[in-house]
Amino acid sequence: MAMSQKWWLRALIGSAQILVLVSLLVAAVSLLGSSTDQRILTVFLINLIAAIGLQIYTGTSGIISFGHVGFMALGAYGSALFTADPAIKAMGIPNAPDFILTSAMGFLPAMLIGVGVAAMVAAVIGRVFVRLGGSAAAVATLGFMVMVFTVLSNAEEWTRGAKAFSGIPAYTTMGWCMGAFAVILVIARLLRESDTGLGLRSSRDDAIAAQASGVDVVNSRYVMWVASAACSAVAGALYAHYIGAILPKAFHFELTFLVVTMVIVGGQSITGAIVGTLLITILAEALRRLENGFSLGSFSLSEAPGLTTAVLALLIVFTLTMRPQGLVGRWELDDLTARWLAKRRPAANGTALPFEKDRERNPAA
Amino acid sequence: MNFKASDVVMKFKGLTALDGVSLEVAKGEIVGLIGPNGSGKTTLLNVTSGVYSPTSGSFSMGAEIWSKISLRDAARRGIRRTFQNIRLFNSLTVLETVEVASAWLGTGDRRENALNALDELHFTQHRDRMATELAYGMQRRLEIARAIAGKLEFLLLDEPTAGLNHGESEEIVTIVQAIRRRRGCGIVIIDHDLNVIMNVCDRVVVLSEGKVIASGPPQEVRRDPQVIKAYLGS
Repeated sequence: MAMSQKWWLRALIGSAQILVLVSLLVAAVSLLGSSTDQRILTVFLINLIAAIGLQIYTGTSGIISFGHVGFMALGAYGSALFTADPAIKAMGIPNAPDFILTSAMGFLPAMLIGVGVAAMVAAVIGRVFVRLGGSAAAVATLGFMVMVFTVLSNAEEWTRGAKAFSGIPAYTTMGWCMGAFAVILVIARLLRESDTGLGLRSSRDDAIAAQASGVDVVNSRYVMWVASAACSAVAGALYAHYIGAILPKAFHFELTFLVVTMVIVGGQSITGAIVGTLLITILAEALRRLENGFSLGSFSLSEAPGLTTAVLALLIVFTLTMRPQGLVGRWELDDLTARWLAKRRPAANGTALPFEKDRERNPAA
Repeated sequence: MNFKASDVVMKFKGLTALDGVSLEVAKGEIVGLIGPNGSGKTTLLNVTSGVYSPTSGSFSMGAEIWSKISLRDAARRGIRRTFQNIRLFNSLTVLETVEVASAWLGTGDRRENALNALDELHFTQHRDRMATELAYGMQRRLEIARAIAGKLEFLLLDEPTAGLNHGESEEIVTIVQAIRRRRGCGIVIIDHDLNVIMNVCDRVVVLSEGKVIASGPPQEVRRDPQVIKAYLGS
């Protein structure tokens, strides 16, 4: 939809537009916001990376995955195990292998290990998973998330099992979050606009017509699946190094539900994932406060546990019923800008769209 | 280079949809495929384009011979098609719809190739509209634009004028002739509108109950007693 001809240029321009807006938001909160606001902003950016990670697969293939939080967990534990203070590890996981016990890596190499592990697992299971669609894919991916949870909960020698693995260095800063977000945003847009992404988006609408147009649906899904798992792992690593202590339960149904809601409510595009994340983060934060009790006139409630989950569930039901394509649908910010400009600009000679001027027409049809 | 389907049999459980059908199409030739409902026309297109794997039979194109092929591999060999029930991409624009094919089956710039295909169908001014927002006749034309973007050796058109008015059908005839002239591809066209078939085809093949009952120039086939009995009814 954008005016530029090359798909990669459209992806970069679209990424830049979003990056400017998010940077403005970060700058405003950093300068004017309280420490609580900055905490919420960091959580928002981590959620954003998780949602974009999921959207790389779901937004292009149309297949929802409940398993991406499993990749977040692999990224989180992968990075945490190689960065935590060896003295703390000697106490917490004394029976872990030496290469883990002695390791005290920097953030980037450790994060890359976590991402690599997630990508390898995705590459192995992906060959089967990408052949599934609809409810089969939903159940299989959910099963994967539960398997990761179960393995991490029982691998006590490596992870302390269900207990918290603490002593993780607090490397996650606003700068790291923005840097990771920028890289993943560009990757996500490039993948989406590429031949692979376009082909996969067409298969989401009609797989037979897509294949008749030459699209390799299975391999395209596979590429997106592995890439999206790797991006989700980055979110997991950032989360681990922000919170400082992780446990398998942090990467279970609740987080899965949150990230999936962001993507469903937002829409099918990367912009949609961002809009969904913004909305859900604000909503979840507001609801979290209400859960501790609130008064409304003469009505007061001491505690409302589970309010957040209940409202998010209602939001999913509402979205799927009233606007199944999500708030933004298939559109990216640059698409919406171009369409808006096209409507405002008077068409040349009363007929042509503004895009018509970018190319010589062949008059002999 | 000719496309040849030899002795193709397609059985669906107890039903034999194609019973030893052979069809040959030369490059640059337009072949009409007609027959009563249920005679196997669309099934023949489906096995040719890889939607179904035939029970037996073989296909060849130049030196290449195969018995089964996937939709995608058929498309990569340049066997392209439209569908009886229009199959467009709900979430893509007109230009993106054609770009899918030019990206996966073309060489060079995918957008440039897609714009060329849209030009051929007089469609460029609609490029930024959503594919499924188009009027029905335009959707039929968009399917053809998608089918000619990228590699094209043989074009299979499944009822391209179904649901169109007389003027729109005439336009499709002009488009089909223009595609043959410009691309030099072989074209197989299924249509219930005999005027379309008679006007545009070099040769007509008539199917009845999964078998070829007649083949030849349109005027000759029209007079064939078997065809009159099975299909034309007068």
